[in-house]
Amino acid sequence: MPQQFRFGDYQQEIGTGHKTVSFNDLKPAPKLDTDGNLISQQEPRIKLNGGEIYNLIRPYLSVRFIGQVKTVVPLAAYLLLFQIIILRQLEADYLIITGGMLAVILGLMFFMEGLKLGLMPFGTVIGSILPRKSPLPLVLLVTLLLGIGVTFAEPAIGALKAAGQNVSVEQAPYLYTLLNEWSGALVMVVGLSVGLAAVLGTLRFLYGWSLKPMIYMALLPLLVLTVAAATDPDLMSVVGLAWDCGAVTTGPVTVPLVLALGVGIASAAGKGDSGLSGFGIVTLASLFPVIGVFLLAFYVSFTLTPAEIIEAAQHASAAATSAPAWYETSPGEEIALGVRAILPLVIFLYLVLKLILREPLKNRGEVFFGIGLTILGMCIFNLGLTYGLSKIGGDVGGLIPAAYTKVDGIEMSPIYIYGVGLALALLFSWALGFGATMAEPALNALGDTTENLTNGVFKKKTLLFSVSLGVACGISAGLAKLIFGFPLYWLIVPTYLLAMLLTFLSTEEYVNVAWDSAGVTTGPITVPLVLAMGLGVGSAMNAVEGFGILCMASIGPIVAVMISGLWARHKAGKQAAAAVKDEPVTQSQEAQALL
Amino acid sequence: MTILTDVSLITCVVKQDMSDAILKAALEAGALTGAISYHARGHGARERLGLVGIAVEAEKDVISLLVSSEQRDTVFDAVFHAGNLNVPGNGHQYITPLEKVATYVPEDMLTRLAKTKQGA
Repeated sequence: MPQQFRFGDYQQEIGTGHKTVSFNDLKPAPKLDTDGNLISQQEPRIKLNGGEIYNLIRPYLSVRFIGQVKTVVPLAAYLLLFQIIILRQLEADYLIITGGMLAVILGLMFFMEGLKLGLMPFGTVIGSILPRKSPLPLVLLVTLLLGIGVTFAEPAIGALKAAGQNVSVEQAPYLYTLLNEWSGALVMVVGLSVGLAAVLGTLRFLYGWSLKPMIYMALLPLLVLTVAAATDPDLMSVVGLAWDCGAVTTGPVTVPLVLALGVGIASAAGKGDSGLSGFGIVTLASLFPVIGVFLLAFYVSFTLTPAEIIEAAQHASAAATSAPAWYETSPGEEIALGVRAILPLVIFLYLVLKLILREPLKNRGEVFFGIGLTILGMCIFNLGLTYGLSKIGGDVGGLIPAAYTKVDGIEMSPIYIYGVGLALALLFSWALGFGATMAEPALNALGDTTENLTNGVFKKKTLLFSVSLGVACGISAGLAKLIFGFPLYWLIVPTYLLAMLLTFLSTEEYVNVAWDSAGVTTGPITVPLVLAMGLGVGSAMNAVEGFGILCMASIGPIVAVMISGLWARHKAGKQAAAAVKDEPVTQSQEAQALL
Repeated sequence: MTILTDVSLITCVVKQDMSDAILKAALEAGALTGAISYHARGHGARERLGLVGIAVEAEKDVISLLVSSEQRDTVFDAVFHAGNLNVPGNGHQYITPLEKVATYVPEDMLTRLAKTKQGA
C-alpha cells in the first residue's frame, strides 16, 4: 500500500545534517529582582577561535586588498611594459619598485579603512549635530578650520613636497623657496583656501546660489594673476605649481569630510534635498588654492629677492653637512610626515566634538583603532610613494624624451626617429590618462549621480568616457608643453576662457557636474604618478620645472563634460522636435489620451 | 479574492554584496515568486566581538522570499549554501509560517489547477 508524504515534511523529519540548538540555551534566562523588575545582564564578549577569526577576517581583507590592487597594478604594469617594449629599458630596481607598489596598495588599504572607521564617524556626527546646535558663524569657522586640517591629511600633498627637492635654485629661485623653506606656508595657504572654499560652498547650499557666478568670480582674478605671474620672468616658474596645487587638494580625505559637514548644514536648514546639494565645494576647493598660491608667491617675491634665496639655499646646503636627525631621512621622514598629517586633524575633530558639541564618542575603541590604522596607512603609503609611485613615474618620465631625442646616459637614444618617438610619447601619456581615469572608483559614483540628476539624458557611460577623454587630452597637452617648452599660460588661459564660455552656455546641472568631475579624477594614485612623470620629463629635458600636467588634466574633463552635455541636450532637443513633427498631436487628441 | 495558504516566509540577512548570489540560488530552487530585497544596517555581533568585530560588515541586505511550504526546506538549504552561512560574519536566515497570503493569481494557473483537481 503506497503512502504519500510531502517531500518537505520528509526532509524536515529526517533533518539531513542539521543540528538543533535551543536559543534559550545560548542566552541567559532573564532574571527578575524581588519587585519583579528585570535585572539587566551584561553579556560576555564572544570568543572566537583561530579558525573562526581567519574565516571572518579573510574575506574582509581580500575585498579591500583587491580593490586597491585593481587601481594600482594595471597602471604600474602599463608603465613597466611601456618602459620595456617601447623604450627598451629594463627597470633597474624592480625589487624596490615592487616593494614600493605593495606598500602603496597596503598603505591605501589601511588608510581608507581607517578613514571609514576612525574619521568618518566624526564627520557624520559633527555634520548632523553641529549645524543644529551652534550659530552659523561658529559652524562656518569650524568648516574653515576643517578645510585646513583635511589638506594636511591629504596623502597626495606629500608628493608635492617631494617634488621640491629636484628644483634647481638658480633657475627657479621662487619655485625652490616655495617648495622648501616656505613649504609649510604653502600647504597652510592651500589649506586655508580649501577652508574658504568649503565655507563658500556651504553658504551656497544654504542660500541656493548658482555656481556659475562663483566660477566667473574665481576665474577672472585667477587668469589675471596667471598672466601677471607669467609675464614676470622670476615668477614664471611658479605658474605650474600654483595650478597643480588645485588638483592635489581634492582627494579622499577632503571630499567626504567637507561634504559631510556641508550637506549636514544644508539639511539642518531644510535645504538638503535639491539634488544638486553636495556639488560645488569640490570645484571651489580646486580653484581657490590656485589663487592662494599665487598670492603667496607674490608676497614672497615682494619680501625676498632671487639673490637672497640662492644665497640662503647655498648657506643651507653648506650647513647640512652634519648628519640629519632620524626624522629627516627616509624611512623615518615618511613616518613622521604620516603622523604629522593625521594627528592635528584628529585632535581638531575631537575638540569640536567634546568642547562645542559635548557629545560622547560612540564606539570609542573602534574609532581609536581606525585612527591608528589611518596613521599606519599614511606612513606605509608615504613609503610607497617614495619608493614605488614617485620612483616609477620619475623613471618613466626621465626615459620618455629618450624616445625622440638624445638624452645623456641612455644608450641608443634617440630610440626612434624624431616624429615617431614624439608621437609615441604623446600617445603613451594619452593612454595613461585614459586608463587611469576609467579605473577611478570615485568617477563611477559621480556617473550614477549624474544620470539621476539629468533624468537619464546624460548617460553614465558618456560621463566616464568624456571625463577620461578630457584627462587623456589634458595630460598629453601638459606633456607637449614640457617637450616643446612653451609657457603654461598659453594653454591655461585659452582653455579656461573656453570653459567660462561653455559654463555660460550650459545649464546649472551640467556646470555642477562638469566642474566637480575635475576634482574626482585626481586621486591619490594619479597625482603622484603624473607629478613624478612630469618632473622626470622636465629634468631629462633640462627644463626649469615639470609642473603643469596635473592642471591640464583637470581642465580637460571640465571642457569635455560640458561639450558632451551641450551635445546631449542638442540631441535630446532634436529628438523632441522630430517627435513633435512625426506625430502631430492635436489638443483634442491629447485630451482624449489623458481621459 | 484568492487566498493562498501553505506559504512560508524565508528572511535572509546577508552581507551587502551577497544578495545577488542569494537571489540566484533562490531562483534555481524555484522560489523566486515573491522576493523583495532591501538594504539595512546590522547591529549586535560587531559590538560584542571587540576588535575583530570591524570585520563584520554592518551594511546588510535583507531578502524576503515567499515560498510554498513544500519548497521551504529546499530553498532554506539552497540559501544556506549560497550565502555560506556556516562562516562567521556572513549572516543568518529564518523561516516564518504565514497564515494567509492574498494576491492576484493568473487565470491560467487557476484553470489548470481546477483541471488537475477534477482529474484526481
